[in-house]
Amino acid sequence: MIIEVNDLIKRYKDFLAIDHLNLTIGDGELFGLLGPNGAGKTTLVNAILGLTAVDHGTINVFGEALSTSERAIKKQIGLVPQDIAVYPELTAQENVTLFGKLFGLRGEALRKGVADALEFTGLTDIRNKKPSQFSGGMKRRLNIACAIVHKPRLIIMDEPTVGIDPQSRNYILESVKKLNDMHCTVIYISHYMEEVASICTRIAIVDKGRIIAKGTQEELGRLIEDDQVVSVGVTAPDYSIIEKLKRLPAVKDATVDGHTIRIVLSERKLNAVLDTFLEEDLTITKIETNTPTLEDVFLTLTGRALREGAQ
Amino acid sequence: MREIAAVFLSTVRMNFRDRRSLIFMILFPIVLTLILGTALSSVSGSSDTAEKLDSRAALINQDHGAMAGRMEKFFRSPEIRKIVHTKTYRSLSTAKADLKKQKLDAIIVINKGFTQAVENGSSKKLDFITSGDMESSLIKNITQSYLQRINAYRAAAAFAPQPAAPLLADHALSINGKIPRSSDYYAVTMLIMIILYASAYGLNVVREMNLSPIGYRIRSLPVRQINYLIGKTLGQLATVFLQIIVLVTFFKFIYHANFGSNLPFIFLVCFLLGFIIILLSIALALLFSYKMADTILDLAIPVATFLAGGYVKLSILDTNPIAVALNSWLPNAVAQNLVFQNIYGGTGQTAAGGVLKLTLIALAILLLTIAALRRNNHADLSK
Ligand SMILES: Nc1ncnc2c1ncn2[C@@H]1O[C@H](COP(=O)(O)OP(=O)(O)OP(=O)(O)O)[C@@H](O)[C@H]1O
Ligand SMILES: [Mg+2]
Repeated sequence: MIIEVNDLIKRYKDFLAIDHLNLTIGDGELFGLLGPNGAGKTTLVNAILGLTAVDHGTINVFGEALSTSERAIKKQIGLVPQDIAVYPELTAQENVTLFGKLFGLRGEALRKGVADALEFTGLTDIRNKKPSQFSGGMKRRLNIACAIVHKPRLIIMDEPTVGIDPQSRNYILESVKKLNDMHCTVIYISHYMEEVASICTRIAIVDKGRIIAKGTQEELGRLIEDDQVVSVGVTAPDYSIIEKLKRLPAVKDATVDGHTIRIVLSERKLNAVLDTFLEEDLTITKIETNTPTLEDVFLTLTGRALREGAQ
Repeated sequence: MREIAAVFLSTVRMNFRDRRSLIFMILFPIVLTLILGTALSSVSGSSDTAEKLDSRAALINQDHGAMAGRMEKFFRSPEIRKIVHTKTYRSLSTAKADLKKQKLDAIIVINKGFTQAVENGSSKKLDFITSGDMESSLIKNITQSYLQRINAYRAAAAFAPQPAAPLLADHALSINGKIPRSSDYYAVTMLIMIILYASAYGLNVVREMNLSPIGYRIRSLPVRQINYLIGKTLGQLATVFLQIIVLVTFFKFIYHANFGSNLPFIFLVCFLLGFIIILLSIALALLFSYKMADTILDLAIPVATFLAGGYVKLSILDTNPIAVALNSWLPNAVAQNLVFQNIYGGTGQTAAGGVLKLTLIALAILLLTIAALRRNNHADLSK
């Protein structure tokens, strides 16, 4: 096992950031940690790396408690922090070299590690430029390069694609997959369902400090296999219909987004739903049915959207 | 050891690429010395070697009072003209048009009521319209330090029974009868003052470790945090030491300021002061908070400089028992006296006694910093 977390609890004063959390991640997994803002994803990472004191529970990394051999364990981990953490006054190459040295590399291993990390993140051509001259995507890639220079056994990426263009995002997602193919275990943290769905072999959905579901994408999908998602377009949505819909036994959830009402049904029976619309005398402009996505799994399990503003 | 060396070297490298701090630490004291040492004093030193800076300012005088007149004169003095070319404009709109056309870097507007405002101790009636580039901030700095100096005189005049004289000759520094030219005097006091502002380098160590994503990343590395901090702090110290050497060299060989014949001793004193201020800032930032330490130092540095006679040498500082007591332990005052005595002679503390005093202060602050670091290590700093 690469990571074993048992019954972890972390409080900030009265606030429960991690709530009786259990998690195991095996060798070679590309593990996705999906959850909304404030779910406790970064807090979990901090606990794993010993960057924050925990209130209860045990954590083993590579089969050992961190405290038994902190340096040796940390030498095999690369953390890509959520906020870009590189030195603005050093060039890309100098940044990666400094972190390589701090990971204990020297001589030929250092030289090769730096060259490989830059090559891998596509920064070789601009290695002598400073991050201040970089685009958002290049900065994110440098942020990654600094964490893989020592060829770690475990890489933890905390939202590595926040705020960048689709092209850079695809580049990063591809490199994460490549890293994993090179036998590196990856923990990939995100609140983008599509990202996690496209690359991860196993996924845990985190909310309010707890893991509310975990498994492969198929396993998670099966949780709501019989569900159906119906989007109904109306000219003038009103909130009273949401209340009414939610009272129907077959309806798991109903939300409004603009002129569309989105309904998650536990059975494939639309009659009662349509009756409600007719009773309310709403003009229906379109009806669409879909099979549920990870987004819907989250919606169904928590009753909230993964990201604010997302449908 | 290896990681300390790596952090140390990259810190020095980064600092020397940070143009803004370099300008502040090296150019600012030189410019200030020019202003304080020449324009306001009748004892004018040689300064034909002044930096040729091409900044152009428009001056619009809408006040016509005594203070406004003095300020105009200040800008017309040949010393200042070497740094800032000031042209008097009648109308604001013409000046603004020229600023737009990049014929000017800044416009200084002396508003109506300026003279009265300055007499009441405020400088509110002064407006800056700038293009926002480096030249314009230089102009702003020059004008503001000029006003600060006037305010220092006014504050001192309120204490002292006799009117504060702008000439150093009234207050001999040394009993040997050797009196520094004012330009030499300010070369020393501005050097001491700028070393105090090296506090920014100390504060930076704590800001990076506790408040920036870099510090977060460092904690995830297989590096002992204390080693990183030692490397970082040594890098900051080395940077300031190198800056001191550059400054003294400039003052001595280009500006021909009198630094006596014992440069190693002067470097030793400056290094001790740099060590004290950097470690003190680190300790303050760890014990309180970065912001609090920043505020404290921002207030304390001008006060300490004033008390040591850095802006203006006043007899009250030598006679008032409180000022004398403070000055005998304020590190900047002790250092400044050591330097002056080394150059001009004079009695008072012996050189060895003064250096010992600075060393003791440095050791005490080192212990304080170590204690503060221990506390910081135990704190929960996940973000
Ligand atoms: N140092 C702290 N003090 C108090 N509360 C904290 C602290 N750090 C995190 N929290 C709280 O703990 C909760 C979990 O935070 P965490 O940063 O782990 O969320 P996250 O899942 O990483 O969210 P995001 O997607 O926004 O990064 C949040 O509600 C946050 O406000
Ligand atoms: Mg987070």
